Amino acid sequence: MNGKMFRALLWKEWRESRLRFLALFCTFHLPLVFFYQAMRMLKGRQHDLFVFQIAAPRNMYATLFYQSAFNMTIGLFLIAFFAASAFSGEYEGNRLFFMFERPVRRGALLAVKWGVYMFEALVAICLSLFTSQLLVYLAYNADGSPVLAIPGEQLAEVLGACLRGAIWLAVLGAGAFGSSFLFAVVFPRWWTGMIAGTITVGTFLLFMYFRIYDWMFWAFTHQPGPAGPPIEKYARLEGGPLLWLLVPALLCYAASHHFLKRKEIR
Amino acid sequence: MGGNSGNSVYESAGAALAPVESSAGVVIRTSNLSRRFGRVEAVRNVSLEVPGGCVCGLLGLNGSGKTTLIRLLLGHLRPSAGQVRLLGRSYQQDEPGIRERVGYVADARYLYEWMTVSETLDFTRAFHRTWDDAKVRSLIDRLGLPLDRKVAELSRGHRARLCLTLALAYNPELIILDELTAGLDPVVRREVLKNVIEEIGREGRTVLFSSHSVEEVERLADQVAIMHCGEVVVHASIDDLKQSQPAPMTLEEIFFKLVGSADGGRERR
Repeated sequence: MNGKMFRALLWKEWRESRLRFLALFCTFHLPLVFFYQAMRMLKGRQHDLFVFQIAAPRNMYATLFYQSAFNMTIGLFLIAFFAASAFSGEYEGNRLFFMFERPVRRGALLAVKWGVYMFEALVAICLSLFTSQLLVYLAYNADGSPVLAIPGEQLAEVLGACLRGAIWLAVLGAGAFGSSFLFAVVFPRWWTGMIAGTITVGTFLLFMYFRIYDWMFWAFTHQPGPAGPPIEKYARLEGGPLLWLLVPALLCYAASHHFLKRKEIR
Repeated sequence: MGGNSGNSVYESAGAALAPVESSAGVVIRTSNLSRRFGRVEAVRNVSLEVPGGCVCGLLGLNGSGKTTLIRLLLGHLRPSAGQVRLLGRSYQQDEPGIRERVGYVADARYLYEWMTVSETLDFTRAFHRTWDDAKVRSLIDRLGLPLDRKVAELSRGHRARLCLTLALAYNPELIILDELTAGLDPVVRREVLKNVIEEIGREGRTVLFSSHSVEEVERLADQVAIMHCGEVVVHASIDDLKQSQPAPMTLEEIFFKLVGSADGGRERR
């Protein structure tokens, strides 16, 4: 595949996926909308919304909590759905026929599609951790209640936590994406991809639940000090599990490649 | 070469035929090609050789296996048995190389609905090294393609014309057309056929096209391969086929003689 073909394929994938990507990106900010509305309702009522409220950077912590909980559950299913639609939509509409007629290897078609959709999915899920914080900041300031009097050091801690969370989510998201994509290649119906995604997400959550949720459990079960819940507990990076979690994604890619190469168009 | 004439009806129509002669090497070669879908054998033991530079019409009733055979030739389906070689190569050897040299128009027009005609042409151009801009411009003019319109908004006729333009734009050595004119009105059909005829006039171009229409095959083709129940029952030059009959007959009469009389007792296996 030469550069011209690569650019053409990138263009096609982007044009086909951009609206879905936008929808996915927006959906990842739903928890923020709910959270913001809840805060507005409770404002001025001295309501002890959550343990995070007693901390100085409470709103950022709370955003991180809600956003992570959403991303780790519904978010991963959304990724699986996105991956399933990447392939099955084109196959069901027989549009892949058009591409299979071109003098380009199927492996190259798969690589570009995988790359574009995976990139978009991971951008949506990972970036939402950061953008949600930014939006909270902007929303509260626009509302005339600059509650975000957070010292620089703590801000760095929150952003560091977001980064760690993003790394975990990228790895978990890649696994969910990969299995869903693989099933969509083998059984080109969107719901089969979803089943695969569900199984993968469920497995990942069982395996990884306590690692990324340590902090949240701590927040629930302990009385936090003036600094709030110990954010260093959130999404601690562990090289071994992170690398191991990449293996299923890579295997799914190799298997997708194998099956697409042998795929018949009827 | 030609049909797998194990049946007396077919033998009576084709036994006296001389083998189809190859002038520029064999472009399409299948040997004992079969394809089974569950219990149904859609293509059965087809051995076909189409020489370079000839126009071969694949004629058959609905469900006779024409589209399955074409999809086997194009590598979209894997054979249950037998082999396919196009332009001297197999798909296992060099799939992109074959695709570069084969133009194909499918019976269903597979296009990206969200692209405009212009975008479709630009997008496809990126994949073909031999893309001929001058030829594309000429085809656009002749066929009256609306460049700014989205594919989803195109009529059936315009879709067929766009597919034909895409198939011819990179000067393929072999052009395979599956029911190109099916569902088109007579005016569009004439326009499309006219362009096909002009195209096949080029030196070295080989065309295999499937059709229900005997008239279309007679008008366009040098050779005819008649399919029935998954088998190629006759493959011969049209002139030879006519001359081989005991009494003067049109191609249509020969076709019905072959297919109609064989229809009674034969079912797909």
